[in-house]
Amino acid sequence: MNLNYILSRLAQMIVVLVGVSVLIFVLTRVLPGDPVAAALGDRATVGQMAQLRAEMGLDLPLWQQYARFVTGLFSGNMGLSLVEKRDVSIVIAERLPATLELIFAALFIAIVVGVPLGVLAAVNRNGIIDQVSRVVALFGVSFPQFWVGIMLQLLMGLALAWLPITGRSSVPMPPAITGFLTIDSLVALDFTAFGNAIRHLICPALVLAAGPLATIMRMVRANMIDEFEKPYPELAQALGMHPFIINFKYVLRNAFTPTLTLIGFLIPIMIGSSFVVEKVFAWPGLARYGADAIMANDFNGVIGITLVICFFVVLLNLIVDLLYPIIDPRIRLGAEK
Amino acid sequence: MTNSRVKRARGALRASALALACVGLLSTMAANADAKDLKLRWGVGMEVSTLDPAYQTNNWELATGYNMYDSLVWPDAKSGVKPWVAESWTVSDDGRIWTFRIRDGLTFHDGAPLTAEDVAFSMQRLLTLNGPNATSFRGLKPEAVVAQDANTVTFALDKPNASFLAALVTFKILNKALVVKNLQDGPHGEMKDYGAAFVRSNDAGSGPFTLGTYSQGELITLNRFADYTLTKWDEKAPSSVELQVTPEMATIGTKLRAGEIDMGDWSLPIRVQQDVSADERFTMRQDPMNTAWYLIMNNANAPLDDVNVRRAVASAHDEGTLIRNITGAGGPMGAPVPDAMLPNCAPIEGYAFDLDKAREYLAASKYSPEQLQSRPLKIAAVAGSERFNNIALLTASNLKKIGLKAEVQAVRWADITAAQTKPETAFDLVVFYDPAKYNDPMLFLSYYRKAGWGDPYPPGGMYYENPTVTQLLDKAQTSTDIKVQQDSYCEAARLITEDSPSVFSHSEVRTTTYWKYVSAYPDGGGAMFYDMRFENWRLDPDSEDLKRNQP
Repeated sequence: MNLNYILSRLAQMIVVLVGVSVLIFVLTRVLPGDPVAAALGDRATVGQMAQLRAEMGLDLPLWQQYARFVTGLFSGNMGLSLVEKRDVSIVIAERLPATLELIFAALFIAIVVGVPLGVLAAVNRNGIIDQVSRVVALFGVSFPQFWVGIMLQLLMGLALAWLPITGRSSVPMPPAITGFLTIDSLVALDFTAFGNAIRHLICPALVLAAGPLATIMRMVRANMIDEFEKPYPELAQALGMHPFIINFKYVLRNAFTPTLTLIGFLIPIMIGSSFVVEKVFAWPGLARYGADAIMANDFNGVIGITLVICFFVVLLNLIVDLLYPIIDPRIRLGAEK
Repeated sequence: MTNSRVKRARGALRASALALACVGLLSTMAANADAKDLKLRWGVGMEVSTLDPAYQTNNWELATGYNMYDSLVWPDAKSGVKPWVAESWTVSDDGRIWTFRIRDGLTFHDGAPLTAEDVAFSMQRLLTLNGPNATSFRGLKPEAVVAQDANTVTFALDKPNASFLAALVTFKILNKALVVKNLQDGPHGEMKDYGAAFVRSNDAGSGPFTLGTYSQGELITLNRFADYTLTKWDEKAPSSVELQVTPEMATIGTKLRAGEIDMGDWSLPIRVQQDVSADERFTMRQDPMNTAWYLIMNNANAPLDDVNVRRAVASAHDEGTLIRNITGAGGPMGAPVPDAMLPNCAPIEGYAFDLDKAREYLAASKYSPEQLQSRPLKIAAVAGSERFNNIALLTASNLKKIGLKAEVQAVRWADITAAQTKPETAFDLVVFYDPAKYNDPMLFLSYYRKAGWGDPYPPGGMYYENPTVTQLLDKAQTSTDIKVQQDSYCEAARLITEDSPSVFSHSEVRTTTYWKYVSAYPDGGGAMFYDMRFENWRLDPDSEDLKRNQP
């Protein structure tokens, strides 16, 4: 692995984060709406507003507010959230694992189901499987998550009573280590809690996975078909290689690089769309808090969440970049040297 | 019968009796266990972001706080308030000094005795932190609250305030020793943060329920406080209460029908309410509330600075359609205050829905039809609320019928409150409802005088003034004579209605849907959330539905 490349990407990440923090800091303050009045609720007086504004430093010049924010950031303090009435860093630490667990579960479903379906559709081009996969893809991208979520609740929770309708768990959970209930329960060897966490994950993860699954499936299919046009699959077939080996070991590997790029882009989209899923399934995640913070003009909350999401997007894209040469040996960073 | 047979028969009889006794004992234990485990699960639509009574604002935060903490007085629809933690009180002749005698034998959840010192500390804390719930006590300074002895506390108001006693139902008493033990850095001298960080997520109360679980954004569990003495625990009262945070109303409807919760949110959409109420396993209860729905008008800007235009807008308001198709329920409100809060007033004639009459008012206005058409009236509805948006659309539709242009804007609450602080930025109309936390008409009427102008609240953007109304309201607020207060409020309400500074739409009727095994939904005495004191609720432990839903 090229260490210089990683270090330069990490340096770029810092520049991006600083740029985003300045941009979002200024934007939240110049846009209309008074967060203090909203936070104080009914019948707030001018005196109460002034007191809260001073406590939050909102009466200071903009540059001083930013300096105060950055200083706080280094000590792990992101400022008071007006929505949650506690420090934003605590809210993020508490809610981020829930959102990440949901997104990773959805991504797992999307890849594990989407990739094989894409391969099957490409191998059976214009056949029954391809046609069915096309319908599935259309369903996945065209039905709104909100509707699919409610339908799943009605079917799996109300009619069949197989799965819980909302929440992350309904049994006592072991002490948090990672905040991922599935991992924490496995670490504690508490299989009842693990099963319960999985049962709660299934419906929201399925809803969140539907769109990405369809996209991954269609992307894999298209790239596989391109690869099939090349001579090497035919040669491998002539050499008597098993079709499964040809399709999954050689063709898919060569066709997967664009899909990997796509997955890198899908993650931030999933973070954004997880708001709907978190709302419908009462999932106590970061996206739901983010939406509430935007509606209430909760400056510190909006900035904190934006920075965290930005950090993960940049980080995940870096990871995707680093995966390219592992998946596709043709790509070697610095090969031109 | 031989001796041995007799012995065997006696032995068998003893064994049978013992077995029966065991069965009986086990049954009793099982019944007791059932009684202990009666759980009331409530699906709530909003986050419970804080447990601190000084900062709680939304319905579910307040309902939680009202169960964890107690107040000096309890609301009473007839007399205003009745004794609770305070067993009696007196007021000085000038109406400024209130002296309360605290009941003996009350304890906090940690076993510490509740004394006058705790009461004084709690009010000083509320006033110093100056959070949203301090607003009701504007005429009181922290240093004017003094514990005279273990059982006596005095409040010295700046000036007489007729609302003070009624407002005390919102004041919650905290355990001073526990809070002081958990102070963190803060700006309030030796009181540091006044326990704000601790009380936000911990229990410092003496109410009927103690805090069990507090998982923010997900679940709050309250457990019965066995040593609570102000109410005798009924065996069918809930032993615990769960507030399950579920922001999507359709999901709450599904959870209710699936038996995952016992009671739904108050804001279930009409369609969900209808689905659930058609099922005979559920009760749909409707309670009139002291909550007023308005269309706040900006009286400072043209054309709503003309009383005839305002009357035209009021006459074009179709509250019948609104109640039938949008809110699903509503009570009468011809004047600025719900009828139930001013029961002794002579009937006040409001503005019935009449488009012809509305056109007549417009014709009598100082503005020409061209001037009235020159710009659209901006109607603000809180973004994200289907009800608010539909009311705004209905209003816009009716205004167009009488020759006024109107456009609906979905606006964040934060942006509405900011816009209302100045006449030039305030919206022409704002769809708005105002809940009264206690039974005091002044909660609504205070915005109909100059002192309420520019408050960061929708009626703060009304900018209405009538000197006679101001005099009447001042007279009512400083008088200790109930009749003088009532007469002044009635006359002020009549004059305000004549001036039509806003559209007085209807009073709220709160709809609650719950399983039939939930019962004894109590009277709140005219104040919000006292009907949500869960020690007065009952669950039927013999209900098959309850057994199935809570295995």
